[in-house]
Amino acid sequence: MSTEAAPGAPSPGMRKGGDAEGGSGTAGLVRLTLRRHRATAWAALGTLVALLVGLVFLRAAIVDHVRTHRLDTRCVADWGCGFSSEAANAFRDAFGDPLHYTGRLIEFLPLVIGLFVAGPMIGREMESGTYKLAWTQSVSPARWLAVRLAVPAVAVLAGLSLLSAAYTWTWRAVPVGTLPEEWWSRSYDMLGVVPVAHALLAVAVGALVGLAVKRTLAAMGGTLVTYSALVWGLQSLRPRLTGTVTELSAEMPGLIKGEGDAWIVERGLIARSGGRIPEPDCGVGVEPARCAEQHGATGWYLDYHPSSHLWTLQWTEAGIAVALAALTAAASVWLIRRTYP
Amino acid sequence: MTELTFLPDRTALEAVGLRARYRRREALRECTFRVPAGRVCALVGPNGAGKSTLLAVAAGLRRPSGGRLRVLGGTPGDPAVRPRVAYLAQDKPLYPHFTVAETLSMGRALNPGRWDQAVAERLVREGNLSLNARVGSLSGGQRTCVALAFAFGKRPELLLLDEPMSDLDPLMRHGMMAALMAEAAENATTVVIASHILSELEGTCDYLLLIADGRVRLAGEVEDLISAHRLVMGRYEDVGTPREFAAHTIVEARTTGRQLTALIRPEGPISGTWEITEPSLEELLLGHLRAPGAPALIAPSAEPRMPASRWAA
Repeated sequence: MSTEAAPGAPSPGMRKGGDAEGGSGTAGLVRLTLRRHRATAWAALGTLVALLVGLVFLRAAIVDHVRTHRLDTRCVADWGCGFSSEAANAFRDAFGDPLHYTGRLIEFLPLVIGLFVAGPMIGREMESGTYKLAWTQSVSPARWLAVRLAVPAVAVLAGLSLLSAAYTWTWRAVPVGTLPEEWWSRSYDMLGVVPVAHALLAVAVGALVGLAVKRTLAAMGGTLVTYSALVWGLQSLRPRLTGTVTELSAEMPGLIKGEGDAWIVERGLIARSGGRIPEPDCGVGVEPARCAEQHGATGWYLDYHPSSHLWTLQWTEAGIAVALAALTAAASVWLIRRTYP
Repeated sequence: MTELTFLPDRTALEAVGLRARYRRREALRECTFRVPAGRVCALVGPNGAGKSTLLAVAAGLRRPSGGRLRVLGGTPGDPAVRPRVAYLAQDKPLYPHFTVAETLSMGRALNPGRWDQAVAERLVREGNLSLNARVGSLSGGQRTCVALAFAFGKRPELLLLDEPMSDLDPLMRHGMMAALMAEAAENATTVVIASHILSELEGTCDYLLLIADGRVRLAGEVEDLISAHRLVMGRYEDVGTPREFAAHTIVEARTTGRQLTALIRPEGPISGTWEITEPSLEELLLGHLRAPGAPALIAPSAEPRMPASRWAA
């Protein structure tokens, strides 16, 4: 990280060293970027290691508790197992919060990374004028931007992938029935490839906004709004990323599927014509059967994603997010090429 | 750097009809000039004349909005040109968290194969700076010193300096200027210095570019420009300018009491009883700065030599 922590007093005659370096100066740009954000890089590395160690211990404790109290056999399919069992309550008390808040942290890390790229990495350089120093050396502004994109992208690919893998690994040790608030559909943003893809998108958005706005705080604000809007868009698209499973029934289905952790997308009535009436309005205190009668319906339907859809959904969303990130990054390169020679 | 630098016909900077905008204002309009290689050129003009914009365009930090500018025979910002041009912006941007040594080592890393650590360190030493000092803790003058060392460490063929000495004390200014000129002379570096401080240009610059209102007013060798002008003084009590001046180009004429002082470009012998002297560089510049409407004077060496086909904007 600190590739060039004060090289003492370089002696005259280091010209040779300069010549020997050769190349295009890209390595120099990488070193400059790391040196400029040395404190942040060390802090990020420290946080990463702390979280990884924490997750390893958390998982060990979870596995131990589950094995001791046989929660893995008792709480697999029965979603309500926790409320009647002292062991499950103890499990919830001990592991619910650590797991939940670690997950939240991972969920918000992409945004934090995007804000960092937009503000301190690019916006501040444009605002303070130091870009004039960097861009008038032997490297072009476009290459400078490419390095500013690549360094955080590599950090994300390495660090966040590791963190997300560790979290997913810990999360898998939790018996389905014990922590309903950590079901896959609710922990979706912290699992697997999605946080990594979101973070890559945040890096690209941060770079583009930072370059366009040229002010530290304004760039961070702009990134917050733009990235949040994009993620909101991805999240609204998410249920449609792969086909849902539809269940038809005469009785109104509950909002909880039998297998417990399914992700209910939509519930409603099926009209006599065969059309769908999603979430019909029946008025307060009306029996489901009367409700169906009111709407002239023949039965109910329930669209849901079973837990087996998790990875299909994840990879599809990650693919879209990475494609968006690539487009945004290309837009920022286009912008810098168009604006500056 | 190359033996070509010493050829008198080589061109460092060449502009034809150059236009550039700064904050939606036309900062440069129709600038046409040439600076031959190997010169130390003063770039002078009132505030807002477009000096900084011109240097930024030449440094490849800004696109011109019209016309052409060629730097060392190439386009500004071209991969072949960028390593050979150094630029010091007016605000002397440096990374405040870096030490002086780290700043120089960044210069080496960003200019592979070009960087001259010895030159950079020599200039840092000229300002009595420690290599381990943090840039953010330095005074304005000391930062200028580091920024100059950084620019020179690149061993540029063309060095663009925007108000380089403005925050140096007189002693440091003198020392840095001497060091700078010595380095420039040794490597036959072309230097373009934008400056307000007319006295610091006298004796250091042998070429002059005066721009006002986005246009070139004077361009050429300092010697030639000076010898093309005369400072005329004498007793004069009438209104307006003396009739015997009509044959010449009057740049500026002022009357203080009964004393007339005029800067003119004589087109022949000046008749009448006047005290006629050659103006100093400072007098020449002040006269032209006071009279922005005076006709431009472009010396033959300052005429662009681009092939005519390239003149089209």
